Amino acid sequence: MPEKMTAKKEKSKLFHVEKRFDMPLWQSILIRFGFIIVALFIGLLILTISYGVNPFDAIGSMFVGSFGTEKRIWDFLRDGVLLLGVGLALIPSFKMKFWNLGGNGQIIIGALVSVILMINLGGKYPDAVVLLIMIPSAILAGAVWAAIPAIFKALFNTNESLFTLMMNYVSVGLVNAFIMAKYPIGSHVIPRIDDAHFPSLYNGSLLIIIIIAVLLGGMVYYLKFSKHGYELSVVGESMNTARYVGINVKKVIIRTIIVSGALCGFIGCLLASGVDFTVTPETGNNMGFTAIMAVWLAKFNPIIAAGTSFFIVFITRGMTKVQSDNNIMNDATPNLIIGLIYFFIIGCEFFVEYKLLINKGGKEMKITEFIKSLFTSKVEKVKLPPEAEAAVEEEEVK
Amino acid sequence: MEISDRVAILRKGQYIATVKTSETNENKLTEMMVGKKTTLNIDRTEPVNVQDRLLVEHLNLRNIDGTKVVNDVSFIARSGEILGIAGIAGSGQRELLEAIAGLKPGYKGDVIFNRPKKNLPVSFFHKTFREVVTMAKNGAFHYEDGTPVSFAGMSIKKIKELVNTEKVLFNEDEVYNLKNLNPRKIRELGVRLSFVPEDRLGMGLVGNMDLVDNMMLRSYRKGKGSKLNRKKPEALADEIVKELDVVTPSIHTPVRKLSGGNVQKVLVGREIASSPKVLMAAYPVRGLDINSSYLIYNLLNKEKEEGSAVIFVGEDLDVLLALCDRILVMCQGQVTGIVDARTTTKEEVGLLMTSTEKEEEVKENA
Repeated sequence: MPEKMTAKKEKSKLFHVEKRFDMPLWQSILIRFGFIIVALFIGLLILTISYGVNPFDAIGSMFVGSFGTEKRIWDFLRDGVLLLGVGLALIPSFKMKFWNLGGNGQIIIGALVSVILMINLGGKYPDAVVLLIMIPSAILAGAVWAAIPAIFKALFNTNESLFTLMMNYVSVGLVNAFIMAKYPIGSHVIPRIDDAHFPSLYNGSLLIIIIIAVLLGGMVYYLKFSKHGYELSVVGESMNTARYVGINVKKVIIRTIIVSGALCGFIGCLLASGVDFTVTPETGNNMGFTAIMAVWLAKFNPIIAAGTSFFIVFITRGMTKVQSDNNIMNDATPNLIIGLIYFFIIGCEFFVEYKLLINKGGKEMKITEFIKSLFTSKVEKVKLPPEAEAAVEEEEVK
Repeated sequence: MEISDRVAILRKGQYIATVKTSETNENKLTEMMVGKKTTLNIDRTEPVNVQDRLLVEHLNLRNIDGTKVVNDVSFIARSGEILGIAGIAGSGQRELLEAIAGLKPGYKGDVIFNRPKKNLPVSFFHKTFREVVTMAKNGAFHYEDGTPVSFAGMSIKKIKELVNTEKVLFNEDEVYNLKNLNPRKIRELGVRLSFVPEDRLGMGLVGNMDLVDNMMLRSYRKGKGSKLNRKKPEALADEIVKELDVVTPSIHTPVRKLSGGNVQKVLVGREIASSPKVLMAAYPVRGLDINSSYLIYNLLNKEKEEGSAVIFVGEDLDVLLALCDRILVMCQGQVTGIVDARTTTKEEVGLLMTSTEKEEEVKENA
């Protein structure tokens, strides 16, 4: 008897979570899109209730924010590829399970080095010469900035998340120190620098887009078809396996993070010499963190990361437009809605990975079946599963 | 069989039958467990062409916390035979194999690998041409009729022709000390030492990678340039799936989705694909169904017949006695005896497994 009691107790759990193994691709895409639509719906509901915004106008504003004018389209594409660029830089380190939270710092240090060279060499030498010095310097600076925590991780097994995070503050401090030293009076802002700009094709964005597209191709090749890429995925999946086949784990860690930091430094150079023409402590606009989300959503697949990067830029720009169109003075509401959308996107991964079974009267059913059963038959005879019936019969025989 | 009155058989989560123990036998039970008729026996052949292949001398290994896990272990593994290692779990068997495989740097003692080359053609061993000429100067080669080789006065074309037509043979076997070399360096020496570790998905394979990428683990460095070549691993994966009946949707399925037996088939298949000179396997049948277990035993036997020195760490004494030629017994990191598996008894091995003192009379079969 007591056995039966416990069995009954276990069965009366309301929810039961089961891992999915074989979800077709179209279904997982459908789930994700469904969740995004639900998130947008709730977000717009909040806007409508609190500010009386017409939800359809808001949707319109979101699209206008990214695609309204030719300039907006170019800006949208530029912001998207820059975020993708940072994402591409982070993918190798994250694939290796090296949690590089220092993308911001690596970008800022690349930008700072570029700006220093632009100020000091710009005008004295031809722009091309300055650029030829500036780009490798920025790449080197980013690489060194990332290599410091990597070396400590490889040799002393320090925690890379904290270390890279702290390096961000150091780089911001360096930018402030530079500004204070160079412009001690006034508003402490480096004015727009007019020399040694990154070359532009047609407009300021096209060349950057082309460069990042090439980088995307390179990264796909590096991860999928190169020996380095293979080694770093083995190290990321299991250090024991890596040692078992004789991979020099320390070397792979340092090498991969240098690649990661070098790319971040290059993005910093692009930002300083091609977009902002200056450097501030906010250079990069926290892309080092936003890009983490973009690549995580893409499961570290560079091509999917392109999609997620553009999506994130789309909602960010869209929300800014909604805010300005409706004279919403605080940043909290748009941020709340963006956060809500992120939350739903991340949350839906649960439903892609697992299926939820609901227990109704001793019978486990999928959510869709459960909802159907609510509408079709209100009084349903509780049916015991065959094993339980057999057990009851046996009990009676005894 | 010994302790039960009735036996209930389950297969793949389904109830098959309940039988009285007195009315059945092992074969009938196995048939019900597996669902088809199978022959479960280990054909132990007599060792042929036995040579000393791997000499382990006074190997001492300390754990990360400083405790001694392998204590002065010496033994010889010979080609053409299976050396079993018995012992209570955690007596240092695993660490011993990992040390030999190059995964535990910092041990004391020597691991000598004897690479048989005597009377074998030079062209088998992919030496660079420059090396071959230098070695000839040092008198390392002889012709088929026994006269020593000196390439003095010969044209390069002539020398190449001699080498490639397998007319130049080695005088001596090559001997390497693998002490504290990592697995990569061991491979680079040309020593074909394969290791099936206890932890399949945590060490031997990468769970999230597909069969092809797992096949590449050992060989991805081959080939020039930085590009991976997936053609050969693909062919190897196909071959292993076919030869060992690996149940998998495709060779592009992540191995963690396969069942334990199929995972082990993939791992063992890869390790024997390089036709190893030494094959070490730590608990290769742990957690496997009876069918897969016997498949693994037969694979080890096949490697033995092909002249590999097989080292097998096992738990089941019956299997050790039936499969191995000699059994090395370990207790608390020490060798307590090396016995002939054909003449020994379970009681003797069991006693050695628990005897802490090193016994004086080690029964070593010649």
